[in-house]
This record gives sequence, C-alpha cells and structure tokens, in this order.
Amino acid sequence: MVVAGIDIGAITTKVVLMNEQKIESYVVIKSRVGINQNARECFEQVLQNSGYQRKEVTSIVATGYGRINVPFAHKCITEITCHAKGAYWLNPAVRTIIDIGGQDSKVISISESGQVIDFMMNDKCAAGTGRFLEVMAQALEVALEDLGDLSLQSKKKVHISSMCTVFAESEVISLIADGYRKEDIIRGLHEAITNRIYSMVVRLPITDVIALTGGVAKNRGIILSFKKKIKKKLYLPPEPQIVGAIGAALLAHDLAK
Amino acid sequence: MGNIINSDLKDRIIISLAQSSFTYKLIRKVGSYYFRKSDSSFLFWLNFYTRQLEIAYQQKKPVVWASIFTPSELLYALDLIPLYPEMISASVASLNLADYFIETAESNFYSPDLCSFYRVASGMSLKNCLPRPDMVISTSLLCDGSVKFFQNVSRYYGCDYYLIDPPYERNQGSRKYLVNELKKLVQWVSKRTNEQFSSIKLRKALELANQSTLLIKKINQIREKVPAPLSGWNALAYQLYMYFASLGSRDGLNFYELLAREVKNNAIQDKGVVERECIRILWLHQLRPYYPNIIWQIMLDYKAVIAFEEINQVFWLEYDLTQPFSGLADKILANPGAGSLSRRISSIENLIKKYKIDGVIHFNQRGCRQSCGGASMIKDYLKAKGIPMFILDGDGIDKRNYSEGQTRTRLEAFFEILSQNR
Repeated sequence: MVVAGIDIGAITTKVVLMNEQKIESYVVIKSRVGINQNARECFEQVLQNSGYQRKEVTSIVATGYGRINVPFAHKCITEITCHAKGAYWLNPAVRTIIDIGGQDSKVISISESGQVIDFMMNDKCAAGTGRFLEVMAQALEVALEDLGDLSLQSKKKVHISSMCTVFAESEVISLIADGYRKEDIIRGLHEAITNRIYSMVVRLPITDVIALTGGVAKNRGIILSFKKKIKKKLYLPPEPQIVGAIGAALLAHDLAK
Repeated sequence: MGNIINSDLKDRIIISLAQSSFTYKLIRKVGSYYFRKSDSSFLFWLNFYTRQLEIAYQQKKPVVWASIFTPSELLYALDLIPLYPEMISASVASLNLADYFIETAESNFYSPDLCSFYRVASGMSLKNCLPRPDMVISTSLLCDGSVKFFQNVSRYYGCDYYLIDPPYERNQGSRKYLVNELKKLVQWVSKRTNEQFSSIKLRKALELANQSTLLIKKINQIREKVPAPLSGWNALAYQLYMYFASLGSRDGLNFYELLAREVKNNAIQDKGVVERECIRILWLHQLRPYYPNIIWQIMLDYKAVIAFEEINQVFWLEYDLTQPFSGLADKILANPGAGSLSRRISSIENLIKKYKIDGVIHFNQRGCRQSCGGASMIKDYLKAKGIPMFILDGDGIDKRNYSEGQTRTRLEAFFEILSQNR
C-alpha cells in the first residue's frame, strides 16, 4: 500500500512516500506563500522521484501548520501526533521528542507503545525556534547552515540575555561592535535556545531516549549544547526534518488499513 | 487633521450610542428578531442585560460598580443597580469591539500587562461609554487585579469605594470577621443612599437567591447526563453573567426557570449539544475567549463537548434567612477557588467523576494570575491520576494575544490524545 505524509512547516515543506511502511522517497523544499501549490509541487516531485503514479497513492495525511490548506489530503493530523509516530517508528526506545521547527518548538512525551501522553509548546514568540536562528544568522552575516560548525570553534562563552528575537538581534549587533568573536556569540545563541527549550523539557518526565527532530536538529552546535544540558541519550534521526512527514505517512497507512 | 476629525466623530457616535436608551431598545428589538430561533433563556438574558444598562443610565436608583464575586444578593437587597464591568467587557469583546477600548486604555498609560477585562472597562470609562457609578464595591476574592481596578474607578469618578477583603482560611474566625465586614458595608451604603437598611428586603433577596440556587443545582444535576444537554460554551457566556449578576432578583429566578426547562427538555429528548458526543471536557477557570475564535468549532469537529465548567458549581449552602450575613459570608469563604489549592483540586476531582470527564482544559486567561499560577500543579495532580489536562494559554478579551494556528494545533493535539485513549 502506497501512502504519503505531507508536513507543511513555516520554513520547509516535506513529503514522504511510503510503501508498506518503507520509505520510497522524500522531498524537502522551501515553503512559499501558496500552501496548496507548495504541497502539490512537493508531492509531484516525490512521485517523480519514486516512479509511482498519483492514483497508486491510496492515502495522504497532512500535518504541520499548513495542514488544513492541503485539499488533496484525506486527513489532517497535528504535528504533535505525527512527530511522535515518526520518531517512535524510527527508534522505539524514544520516550521524549524535542522538535525545533521554524515557527515553534515542542516537547512531546510518549508512552512505551508510542502514544502521545503529553506535550509542551513554546509560547507565541519566535524565541527557541528556527526563525530565531535565521534572524541571528542574518545579523551575524553568516549562512544559516554554517552556524553549527562555527559555534564548535568557540573558545569563550558569551551570554545572550535577550530571548526576544528583536532584542536579541540588537544584542548580537552590540556584541559584534564590542569586538566579540562570531563563533562565541553563536555558541551563546545556541545555549540560549537550549535553555529556553530545556524549561519546557523539565515540565515533562525526562527519560532516555530523547529524539531531537526538526530542521534545527541538523545544527551540530545545538546538538552539543543539548547533550551538555540534558545529560540523557540523544537520538538523532538520519534526516531530522522529515520525522513529522514520516509520522503522517504512517498514520495515512493506518487510516487506509 | 482628517484623522483627528474622523476619530472625534467616531468617539461622539460611540458615546451617543452608548448613552442612549434608544440603543438598548434597538438591541432588544433587533436581538429578539435576529436570535428568534435561539433559546428563550438567551433572549431573556439579552433583555435583562440591556435593561440593566438602560436603567443605570437613567440613574433612578444608585448605580454600583461591583466585581463579579461581590454577592449580587446583597446589592439587590440594598436597592442598588449593579453593573459588572468585567462582564460588560466580555460582551464588548463578543461584538468584536474590544480593540477600540483597549487602545484607549493603553494610550492613557494602562499597561498591556493589566488584565484585558479591566483594560476594556477602563477604556470604556475614559470614553464615557459606561453609566457613572455612585459607589464602587468589590472583593479581593480570587481576582487580585480587581482591587486596584475598582480603586482606580472610584478615584476616576470621584465616588467612594468599599473593599470586601475575605480572609484566606474558611473557619469560624474568618466567618465572624466577614459578617462584620458585610454589616459595615450595609451601613456604608445606607449612609450614601440615605436609605434605611431593610432586613425584609435582604430576606426577600436571599429567598429569591435560594430559589434560583435550587434551580441551578437541578440544572447541574441534569447536566450529568450523557449526551450533554447544555452547552458549556454558552454556560461560560450569558449563563455565567446571570450566575454572577442575577441571584437575589426576580429576574434571576425567571431566568433559571427558563433554563431549567430547556435543559430538562433536551435531556428528556436525549438531545445532546454535540451529535454523537465522543469527548467530555471539564473547563477550568471562570472564563473563555469572548472574541470570535475557533475553539468551539474545533470541539465540534472532534465531537467534544464542555460537559461542565468549574465556575458554575453551587458550592454554598442554602441561606438561613434568620442569619443572612452569616450565609453571605460563608458563600464568599466557600468558593473552591479561594484558600489553599487543595480545595480547588478536590472540587475538580469531584466534578470529573460526576460529569464523566475524559479530559480537562484549563484556560489560562493572562490577567488571572491567581488561577494560572496553580494550573501546573493541578495538571501534575491529575496526571498522576491518569486524567489528561491541557493548559490553554490565552486571553479572554484581547485578541492580540490569540493566534488561531497555535490554538488549533494545541487543541487538536489534545483531542487526538483523548481520542487515542478511548
């Protein structure tokens, strides 16, 4: 049975195509304004890559903030449930998921059978999200993808006190003007994000194993910062950005059964 | 310049409309036509609410601005026209008009951190869109923001303010102290109205309140039935208004007679609020968002219903008409939200059992610090008992603190958890 999961995030759109619970193909593209069009393009691309026809896909589940705007999906399910499903499928030892997406970050607690027990999400500001790092990368004039490696070269800790994206941007600019090294500032930013998310993590039971998902989980500086802070086994999926879409595809499979 | 003229004109129109009897008559006329298919209890409320505002503008009797936890029974016994600014703010928000008054308040140095119910009421005062109070009475019960707000109101209008400040513990000493405070309040009002206090009127008001309370108890008992015969979403709106503003009045009794009939009829016909009801929710905290929002629609999508809400409990005893002040004092002290959090938790547990609750939603209204502060502890307690609880951060009035997408994701995820548990 061929199924698809579509995760419409604030920054990226992800589609995963599965056949009998095996990933056939996946695509990650930048999200643009027209959610429906975006989803269609991404879906077409994944079909092209896998060689399947549209009619062969029996069930589609949409997730992510744009989920309600995908008319060709059979069902919408929240990213909380989808991330839980995806992470548990990838590693059944996972009991906590920290997902840091473009627009929000969430901590999900799951049971031994993989069901969501509880979850926490950031409040409505961008602190502790991918968007926060994007803005900071612009202020520092470095590529977003380079933030992780640069922070690993840090020699000195710089404390970032503002978590408001606008204020933190000004703080970063002031630190640059004061002669602080970019590498140290970036490390400070990563630690600020980690601390912010950690305050949500401790509201739920902290268990082994914790999965780190979402685009920000590709940042090696963030991974290191979390490892130091949480002191628990971290599970890093091979492609952390598509965990929600995998979960959506698995749920599409359950739906079609 | 053009903007100034426009904004002056807008102000003048709004003030004229707010102060004109014609407006309230028109609302009643249009409302009763527009909502002709609605429940008769709703139409009764609309009539009651607009009449109260209209009478307050006519100032035939002294107008008192009171906080919602001030016992209305006593205000009716004292022959005052009570106005509850918090609830007026809620109705303004439901008409999507709160922004205008919030802007007014904030541009006059009211902090955005102040509870939005009070920001709207302050903005309405500043725009002269509320009937002037002759006196102000509030309690510090549950709501910590109310004390400063009502004190400020009294200063703004140049009228006197009486604060009922109940003790933390519910014991004999507290009761004695509060009885004394209530008796002092009666003298305080009499001095300002030049009217002799009538113990007959007090007994009458308490008798009416007893009759209404009996009906509320009956309604609450019928509400234990599955499917839920009454919408908790409405119970948090106009029914809540009557719960705070009508006890002790003939109108209150008439309202609850109507409501009891409606609920009973629904129960007899097995008519639920939601078709094929799947999820029963207990709504914690006394408020909900009053501006247009998607919460109710999401509940309908998941076949979820607010089976009961914490605020509509009857936690006080029938008034002993021979000891009226003692009964009133005990009503204030018996509020499960007051005192130790364990009292509130025990009442919540009781409601969960009684109303066969699947999950609990605690609406964290930003301005209600005393309630939000305990939400996590309640959640931890219920979690240990295996009852899922979701804390919905939000604002009852200020829609700038509402994000549709985030509310949808959080609520849907909670309903997904509840659905998987079934």
